[in-house]
Amino acid sequence: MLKRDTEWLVPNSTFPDWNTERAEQMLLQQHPHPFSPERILQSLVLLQLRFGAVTNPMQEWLSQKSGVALTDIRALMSFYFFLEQDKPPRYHLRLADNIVERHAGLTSLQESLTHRLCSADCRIDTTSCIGLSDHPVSLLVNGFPVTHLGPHNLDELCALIINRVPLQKWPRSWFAVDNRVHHKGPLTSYPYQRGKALTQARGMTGDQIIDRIGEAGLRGLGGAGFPTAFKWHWCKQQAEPVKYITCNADEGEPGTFKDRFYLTEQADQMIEGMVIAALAVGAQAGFIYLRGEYVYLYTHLERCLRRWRDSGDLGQDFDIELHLGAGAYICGEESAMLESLEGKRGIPRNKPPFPGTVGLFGKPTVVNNVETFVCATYILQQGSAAFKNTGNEKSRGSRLHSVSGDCRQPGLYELAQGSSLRTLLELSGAHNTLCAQIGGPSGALFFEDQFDTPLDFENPGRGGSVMVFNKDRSIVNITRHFTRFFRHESCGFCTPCRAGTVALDQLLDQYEHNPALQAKSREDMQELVQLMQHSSHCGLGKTAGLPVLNLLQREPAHEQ
Amino acid sequence: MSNDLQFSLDGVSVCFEKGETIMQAAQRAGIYLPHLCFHPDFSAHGSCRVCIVHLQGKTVAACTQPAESNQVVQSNTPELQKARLRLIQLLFAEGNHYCPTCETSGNCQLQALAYDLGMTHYHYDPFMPERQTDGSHPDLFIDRDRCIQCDLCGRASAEYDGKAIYTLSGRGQNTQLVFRSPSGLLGDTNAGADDRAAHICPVGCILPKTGNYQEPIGTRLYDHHPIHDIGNLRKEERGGSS
Ligand SMILES: Cc1cc2nc3c(=O)[nH]c(=O)nc-3n(C[C@H](O)[C@H](O)[C@H](O)COP(=O)(O)O)c2cc1C
Ligand code: SF4
Ligand code: SF4
Ligand code: SF4
Repeated sequence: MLKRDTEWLVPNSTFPDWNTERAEQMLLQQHPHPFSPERILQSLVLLQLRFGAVTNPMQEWLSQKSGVALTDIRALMSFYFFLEQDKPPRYHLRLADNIVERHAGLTSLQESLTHRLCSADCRIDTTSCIGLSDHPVSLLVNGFPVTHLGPHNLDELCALIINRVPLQKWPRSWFAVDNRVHHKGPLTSYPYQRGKALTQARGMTGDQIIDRIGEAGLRGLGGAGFPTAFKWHWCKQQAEPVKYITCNADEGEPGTFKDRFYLTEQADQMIEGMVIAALAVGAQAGFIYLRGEYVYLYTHLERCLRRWRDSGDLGQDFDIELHLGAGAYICGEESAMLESLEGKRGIPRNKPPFPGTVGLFGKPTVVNNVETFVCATYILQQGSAAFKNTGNEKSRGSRLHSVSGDCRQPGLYELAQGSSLRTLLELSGAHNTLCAQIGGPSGALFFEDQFDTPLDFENPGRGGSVMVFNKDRSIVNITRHFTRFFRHESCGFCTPCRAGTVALDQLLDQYEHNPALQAKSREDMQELVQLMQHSSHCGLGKTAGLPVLNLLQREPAHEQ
Repeated sequence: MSNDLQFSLDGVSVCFEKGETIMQAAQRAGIYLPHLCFHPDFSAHGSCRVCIVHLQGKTVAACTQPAESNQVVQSNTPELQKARLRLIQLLFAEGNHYCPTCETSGNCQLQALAYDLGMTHYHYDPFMPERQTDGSHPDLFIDRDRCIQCDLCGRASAEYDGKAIYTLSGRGQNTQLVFRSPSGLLGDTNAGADDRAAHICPVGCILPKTGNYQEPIGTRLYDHHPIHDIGNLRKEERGGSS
């Protein structure tokens, strides 16, 4: 058994010098075959974390050791934005650039940081949402999250950086992530007993387990709301004996941070859910795809996995490996995630075939969200009825909502499926509310007259995350921000999204700044969004134009 | 062949073999579906999206969608032709395409489709990318500003030449053609001027260094035949059809 030593994976401001011996030793501690082609991306990520960058000589070394062409290594480096080839400054500040942080003063903070730290040994830039929009303004410092940056601690931050104070000596409270659940429900408060659900499952056949999940009416909580039992059943049915279970912990949708909670507080339930899924479908190996922004949870998750191995529940018939993403939203799309797990650029695959038939390394694969696995454990321990009795007819159970933006108490709220947005707004102390974005930029924007809409699988946005905007906010700004997000995150594979997101951004600029062309840009945008919706290869491009549509609906054309 | 293996394409009944895509079946039936990244000799890619068709309420790419019995497929509708025109215009806006000076003009599939779909202007503001050219190879010249990221060269190189020299790198609008050599230059690979990959490009990104501009403009392939009649032909493929 490997001793997965990641003690070095702590907030760090001085990276050790790289040498081949040190690098090889570190990589071998993490995995027995760090130079196999499918591990190459993970090795790049680990080198980045350990040494602060993957410089040219390191890339050449890795290419030599693995036989993977240097060009392919560079192609990975250019796809995953967290991989960097320049030797890092002492501090690398990546400010989370979500609209919520913009509203919390990101732009002026960034300006003053840039101004005051211009001669310090640091680099300042932005990155997409890091899953902390309930702690604005948040940022990653050398990969680790610092929360609640604002005028009150800006001076101190600058002083620490100018005086080259090691990250380990920064105020600990700065790194604190608050995972309180402000409104609890069954999932976050039931008396979980580690291993009980699994013991139940061991006494059942695969079909019986799947039936339990099906009776409960569990639908996937990663976005699409696909019935989980059907997915598992499909995978189980495949004649191919090698099967995989994968857990999607990429949580890239801006404004969403519920998986952060589960990964921190209820990781055992997620892992147990994966083992149950493996029993149900007959899988031998599992993978957790953890977004790079959550690297601070890596050691914690490794420890959890180790405990399951120690108790004999993992490591014999079924084991789970932890993989890290590296700053690519598209890798949350299930087939792009599989590509990434195989060590490639995260380009979504053609479907069909779906992962249940041809998945990871070509084998039948279950892909589920973190929360879906947590629910599976709940169902096996508490019974299908307990789950089924909450929620409504088509959306059973409850779910955790990430709430951020203009409300008194941003954070996590568990509500039964089908609860109204209004309830959530009231609970979180939202006031003077203009509108709320449900399910992230790819979801839906609700205005006052839609606040009674149930948050469930049958309604736009499908719940899960809510960004609240008060009446001082500008819809055009919000729209522009979301549109840029998609432009930034497009994988570049297909024409309508790769070029369409850029053209849409241009048209939006024209719409906003050129009144003479407003009617024309309006028409062009409407047409382009439709084109993207219908012709894009994957969900990113299909939904990337929705914020613009929302805007146009809200701002009806002026009669000319 | 059994009679159940057929579907309707624009009202015409098309036979297919199990495992075929809508595009493959249409080609065998002699029906032209506009496309750029598809080539019958290589695996499907599905990236240009020009071959989108309507399939019972959904829009899908014909080159990747498996044909199924009794499907009803529409391709030649005003709505889809308009969508294709916009996709072509996006491709034009995204690169730098100065056709009058381009050696491929008249033989270019992007340009031919633009003519066929009635393109008269860019429609979108040009992005004006600044991508590097590569003249390091003795026989080949690369103008990345004309690349449409279709990976046909990559597939031809890997699947036919067995060399795997050409591939795509980067992300989003920074996606670009690269070559597998330590320097990244085409001249440092074992690419040959006779490789299939060197002749597969549907546009004017991979060009021979010699023998150019010999064929006068006005006498070139698509100057006389619309692409929907003769298909996506390359100079050396003029005998057959693709
Ligand atoms: C662009 C894009 C990004 C996505 N990101 C995530 C993600 O971060 N986490 C997630 O669980 N699902 C994400 N999904 C949905 C997954 O493709 C997939 O449907 C989901 O992981 C399945 O799990 P479930 O059945 O448990 O919901 C994304 C989809 C798209 C199109
Ligand atoms: S829609 Fe966008 S993200 Fe999806 S495959 Fe196309 S370019 Fe990539
Ligand atoms: S590649 Fe085709 S479209 Fe581009 S400039 Fe040349 S002829 Fe014109
Ligand atoms: S060089 Fe030509 S064949 Fe290769 S990806 Fe670009 S457009 Fe396609």
